[in-house]
Amino acid sequence: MDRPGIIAENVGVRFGGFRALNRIDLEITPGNLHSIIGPNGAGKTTLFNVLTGRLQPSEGHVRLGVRDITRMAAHGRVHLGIARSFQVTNIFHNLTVAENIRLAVQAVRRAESWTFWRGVNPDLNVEEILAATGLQARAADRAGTLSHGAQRALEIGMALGSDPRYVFLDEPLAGVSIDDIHRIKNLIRSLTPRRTVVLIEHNMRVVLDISDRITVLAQGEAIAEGTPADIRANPLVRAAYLGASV
Amino acid sequence: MNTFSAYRPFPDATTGALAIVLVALPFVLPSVTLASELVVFAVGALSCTFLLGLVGLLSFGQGLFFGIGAYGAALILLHSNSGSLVAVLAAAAMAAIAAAIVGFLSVRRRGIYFVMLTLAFAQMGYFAMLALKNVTGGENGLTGVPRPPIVADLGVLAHPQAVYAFLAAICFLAFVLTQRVASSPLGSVLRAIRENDIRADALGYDVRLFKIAALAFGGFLAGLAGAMHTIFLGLAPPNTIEPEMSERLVIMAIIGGTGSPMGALIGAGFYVLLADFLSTLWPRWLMIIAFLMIAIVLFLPNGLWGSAELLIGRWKSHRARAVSPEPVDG
Repeated sequence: MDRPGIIAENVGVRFGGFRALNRIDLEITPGNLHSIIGPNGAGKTTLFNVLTGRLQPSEGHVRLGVRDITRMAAHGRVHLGIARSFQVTNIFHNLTVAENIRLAVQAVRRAESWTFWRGVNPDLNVEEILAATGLQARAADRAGTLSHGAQRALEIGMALGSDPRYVFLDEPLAGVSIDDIHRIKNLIRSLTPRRTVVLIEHNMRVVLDISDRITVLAQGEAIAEGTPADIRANPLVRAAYLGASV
Repeated sequence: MNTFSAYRPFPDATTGALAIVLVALPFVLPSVTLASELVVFAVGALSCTFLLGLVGLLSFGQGLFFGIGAYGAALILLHSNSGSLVAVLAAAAMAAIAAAIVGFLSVRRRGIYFVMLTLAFAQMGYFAMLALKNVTGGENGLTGVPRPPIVADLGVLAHPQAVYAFLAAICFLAFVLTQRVASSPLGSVLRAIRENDIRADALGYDVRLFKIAALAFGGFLAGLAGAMHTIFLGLAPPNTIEPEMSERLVIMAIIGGTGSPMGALIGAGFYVLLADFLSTLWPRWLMIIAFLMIAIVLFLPNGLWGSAELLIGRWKSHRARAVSPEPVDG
C-alpha cells in the first residue's frame, strides 16, 4: 500500500484506577482531515499521545498500515512521517523563530543532526514553512516574544518541518484571535489531501466546516463517528456535546 | 541567560583571545607550573561547562572521568613505550567510553535523579580505585610516571616550558573543538534538548542517544584533562579520582559561567590562582572559595565571564543608542 492509514485497535489507557481511554477503535484514512471532538476530559489528548508515541497504551495496538508501532517512541514515529503539535504551546522560547523551524526540518535528516565539524546547513527548507505560516517577518525574533496567535502558527510550522504524511494538531486554534482563526483554518485545510491531518479542536464551526470525518469521544469512549453532516444530525452527540447551539 | 547562546560564529573573537591568553600565561604568572595547572583545570572545567551550558546536564561525575584519564595515562606510560600524545589521547578515549556507559545508565532519569546517579558513579569509581590496589597503587597512587617525548623522538618534554607548551596546545584544541561542536548542527540539537527535551523528542530527535553522545564528549574532555594532569605532575595521585574532584570542576565551571567555553578558562584560572595565593596565607582557604561560590551564585548567576559579556553588551548597545536615533532593543 502506498499510503497506509493509521489504525488504533481496542486501545485502552488507564492511569491508576482511572480509565482515560476505553476500547477505542479508529482508522485514519490517508488524505483525510479527521477531527476528534469531545468535552474536556474525554481523552482526546490521551488518544493523540498514544497515536504519536508519547504514551504507550495499557492495552490494544496502534498500526501504521500493517506495521505495529504500539511500542515505538515518538521520535521514531517522526521518521515514519508522523508529526504533531501541542495543545499547550511547546516551542523553543529562547531560540529564534527560524531556528525553531530549522530544528524541525533538520530532525529527519539523521546524518545532518550528527554533524559536528561544520556550521549548520543553510539550504534546509525553512523559508517555505515561514511563508506558509505567515512568520517571515518574525524569522529572526526570539520565539518567546511572539504573540500567542503567532506561537500557535509556529507550533503548526514545527509540525510541518519533517514534511510529514500525518500531521496531528492538538487544538491549534486555542486562544487564537478572530483575525488569525481564518488564516490558520485555511492553512490546516490546505495540508490535505497531500497530507493526512488529525485535528483536536473545540471550535465547532471550524471543525464542521473543514473536516472530512469526525470522531466524538466522551468519557474515554468513542460514541460516534461520521461525516460532519452525520455528526450534526446525531442526537446522541447533540445531547452529549454540541448542545442546542449548532 | 546561563546558556551557550545560539550560534556564535566559528571561530569567534574568544578563539583569538584564548590563543593570546595561552601564549601570555607563562610570562605573566609567577611560575610556569602554575600556568600548566591552570590549563589542565581549564579543560576539566570545560567538560562541565559544555554539559551544563550547552546540554543542560549537571554531572557530578566528571571527576571520575578525570581520574580515569589520569590513571589511564599513567598506566599506559608506565607499561608501554608509547609517546605522551598517544597516551593522552588513548586515556581520554577510555574516559569517553566510560562516560558513554555511565551515560547509557544515567540518562534514563532526568533532573535531580540524573545528578544523583552521576554522583553515585563517581563514588563507585573512587572505591574501585582503592579496591584495585595492584593496578592503581591504592592510596599511594601511581608514582614515577615517565614523561616521554610527544611523538617518537619529537617534542622532548624535559623542561617545564616544554610541558606547558604541550598542555597549552591540547587545551587550545580542546576549546576549539568544543566551540566547533557548539556551533554545528549537532550543537543545535543539544541546545534544543536543553531548551525543551519533550519538543525535541516530538520533532524526531532521539534525546537519550544525543545525551549519551554529549556525556561521552564531556567524558572525553574530563579524561583529557586528567591525562594532562598526569603529564604535568609525573604521577597519578588518588585525589584525581576523588568525588571532591567532580565538585571542584563544577565549582570552576559555575564561577566562570557556563554561557561560553571561555567561562571554563576564567573559572579554572580564578580558582587555581586564588588557591595558590590563599593557601600560602591560611590553611582553611577552601572556606573562602565556598564563600565566593555563594556570592557568585547569589549575585552573578551568569558567572564571571557571563557577567563580563553582559557588561560589554550593555556598553555596546549604549554606544549604538548614542549614535542612532532609534532605540536598540536588548
